[in-house]
Amino acid sequence: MQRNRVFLTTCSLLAFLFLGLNPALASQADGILRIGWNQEPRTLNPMGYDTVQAGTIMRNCLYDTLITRDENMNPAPMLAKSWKASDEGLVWTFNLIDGATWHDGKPLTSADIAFTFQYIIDNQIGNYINYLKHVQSINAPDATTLVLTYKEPIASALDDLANIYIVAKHKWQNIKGEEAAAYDNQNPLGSGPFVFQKWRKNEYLSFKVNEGYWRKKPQLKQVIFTYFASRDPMVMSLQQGDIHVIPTELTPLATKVLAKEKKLKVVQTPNLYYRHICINSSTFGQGHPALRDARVRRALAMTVDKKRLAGLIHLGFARPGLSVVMDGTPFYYGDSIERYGFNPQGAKKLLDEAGWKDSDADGIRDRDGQPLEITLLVISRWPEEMRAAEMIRDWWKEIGIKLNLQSADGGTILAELFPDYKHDMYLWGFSGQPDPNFSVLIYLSNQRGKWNGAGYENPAYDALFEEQVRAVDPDKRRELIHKMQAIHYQDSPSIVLYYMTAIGAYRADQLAGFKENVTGGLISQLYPNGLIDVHFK
Amino acid sequence: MKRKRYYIVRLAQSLITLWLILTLNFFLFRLLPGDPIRLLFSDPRIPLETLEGLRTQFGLDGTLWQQYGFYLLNTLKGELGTSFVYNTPVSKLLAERLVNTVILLFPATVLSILLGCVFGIVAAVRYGRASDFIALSLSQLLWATPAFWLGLLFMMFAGGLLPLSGMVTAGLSAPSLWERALDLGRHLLMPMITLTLVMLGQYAIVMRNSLLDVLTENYMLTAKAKGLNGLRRLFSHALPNAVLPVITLAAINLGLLIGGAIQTETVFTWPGVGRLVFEALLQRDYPVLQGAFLVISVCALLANLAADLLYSAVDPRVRA
Repeated sequence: MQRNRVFLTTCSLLAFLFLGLNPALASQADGILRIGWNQEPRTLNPMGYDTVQAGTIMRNCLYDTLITRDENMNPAPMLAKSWKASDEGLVWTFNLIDGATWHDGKPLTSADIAFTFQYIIDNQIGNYINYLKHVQSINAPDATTLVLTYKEPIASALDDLANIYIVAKHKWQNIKGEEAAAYDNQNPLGSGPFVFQKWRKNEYLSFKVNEGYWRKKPQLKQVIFTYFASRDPMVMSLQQGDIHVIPTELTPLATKVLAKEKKLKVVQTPNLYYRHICINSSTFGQGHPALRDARVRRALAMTVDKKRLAGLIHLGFARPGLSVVMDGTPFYYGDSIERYGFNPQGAKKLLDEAGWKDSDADGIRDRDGQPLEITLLVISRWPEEMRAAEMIRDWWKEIGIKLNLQSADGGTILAELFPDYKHDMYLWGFSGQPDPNFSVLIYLSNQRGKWNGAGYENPAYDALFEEQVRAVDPDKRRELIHKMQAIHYQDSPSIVLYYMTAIGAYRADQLAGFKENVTGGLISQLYPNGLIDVHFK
Repeated sequence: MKRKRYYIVRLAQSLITLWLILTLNFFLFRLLPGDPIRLLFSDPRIPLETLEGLRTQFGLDGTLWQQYGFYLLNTLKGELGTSFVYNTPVSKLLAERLVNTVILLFPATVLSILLGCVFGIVAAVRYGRASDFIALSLSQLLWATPAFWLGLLFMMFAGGLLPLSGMVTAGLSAPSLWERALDLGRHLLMPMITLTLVMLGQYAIVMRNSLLDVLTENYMLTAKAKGLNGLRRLFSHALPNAVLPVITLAAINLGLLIGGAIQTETVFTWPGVGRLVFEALLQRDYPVLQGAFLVISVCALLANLAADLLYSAVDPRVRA
């Protein structure tokens, strides 16, 4: 009896110690913000980063830019407090703030900014070169003035500059240009509101507040990004308080569950991100020859009920796609273009016209003995898109096209694409920017083998692009961008399935100060102040 | 004499197997579609010259046979190359992850073998009765349960008591050794129990069936006839014979598990070898894959060798 009691007491004591001491709960007092995410950056190198996650960290924690964007994605001051363009729009003069410093205490001056831009141009840094392609010279007459001279007036000049993270001259002058893209930057030296602390890959990434930040000092003491290898535990961790916020990666299903919880706030924001089926339109690749005919591609696009897909596959947390410029940038979004909608009958007519008829009555169209049988590659990481693909397969079957589905990882798909364009079509995602340049650029003929996975070529489209780059008048540029969207929509080198919504959630019972309307989620790679005002209640 | 020869032969066999593993290991990953350099630097804006430079940097520019030669040579020197993705030596990466995996696997394996044997013994001794039925069906159920599902179930019922991911709580301010151990323990508990339960079933079933066979042997009847009591018969006559298949199973499992706890490691975001392999596979990180497969294969090889040697100690028939 006595022994039993001792045993029980010991057990309950141990249990108390083990379970009762929850270190995560203490963080509220510590001012540590814990962020959960499903994907880690590959690198924090500003000259070679390639993930949204890295961009998010650079934007919100590590680096500053010459100018930035406000909550509505318009140009806003950052290192440059004001700027002025000459009458012809060729010479831009930026007045810089005084007193910015690097995380190591050294002053950040116009010399660093000029160095960054020159480094990008000299070494043709792939991440940024498109933004500075039209710059002729860079001058820093004094520590707080920077002058950029352009070869010709450029419409996107300001938004382009908001994409370039400024690096420290005293660090980067020692890194050779040809090694810049692969440099691993294990101890990033930035000037932003948070200082790099530690990165244990596949575990966590932590930053502490920059006590001497030249702008507004954040109220948080520390920010920790915790990696989760699977989604459900991440959501449960938010519910039980081990993490405080999931910035963008909630699934529609989890959203429905979390929306019911009072202590949480679920936030939906537009995302400059869509998913599309990219069709091999190239005349040189090994795709199905029928796909080289724009009429066939248009017929395929006409037989995808995007509205139903958005509703069924993403439970309404996505909007049916239209063109390559997203509805998140309403000014340039091509909502005026003439639409064909969901129209299987029209598609059949188009296919007949193109010479693809069911001559042997087996239910599949053919021409010269070749059946219209194509394969769609779907990323295995997205099971929901495989379901979308299955629905599309059924629709296409109705118009006499046999679609085979193949699930593959990203690497396998890329290997099909480049350099030989062996594929028929693949389902992929695309992440855009507030300026429409990048969204329309990926179908240029000079982007084949680079961004243009469709292998699409259209001289009229290419010419419009060059024209809009130089169209400084926004209305004129808008007209040109709309024309490009209309061409893409009719020629259909890709079928834009849906514009995605970024869904995030945070502990509203503990935290305040999140910006809830910013494009790209609670902490976005497009907007720098996602964390600045966040504080514990 | 015979025994010594047996050891030498086994050792030689193991070495040949090792070479085969090395070779297979090298060619296997080169058969995968997907160019690692393209994948790693997937940004098409990177100029072609840079890509070629990277190819040279990672030693991917030579012919296949040159690469194979380098690979064998370096492996013998203990150099497993540099990870494309992590940019750290593979040996360092693997050593770190191996420790994490062992922290999770060791207690789970020991516990599952012990509990599994107890289950199996109870079931065999009470053959045909209710407790046999319960132990057997429970074992089968656990064996068939996917680890990730069981893990999620635990998470749901742990209800905020235990952390759900990782090995450590990041950002603890100046933790003492005791606090750190406690933190690790709290993170370890759920994945360990999950893994234990998932593995337990097969040990129980093998133990039960093997013991049932042994119990019907003539020498058991002899033991009974000698007047030995039930427990003595069980522990000194039946179990030493019945445990042999369990040793085999444990050895096979040990080798497999080093890389095979992927489900558990993924659900609980445990930074072990299994996840390292899985992620390396997605990113075509050849050096990590090769290194990991080598380590896993060597573990399996060693475990089998150990099992054979253990066998020969436990069961004299093997040496004969």
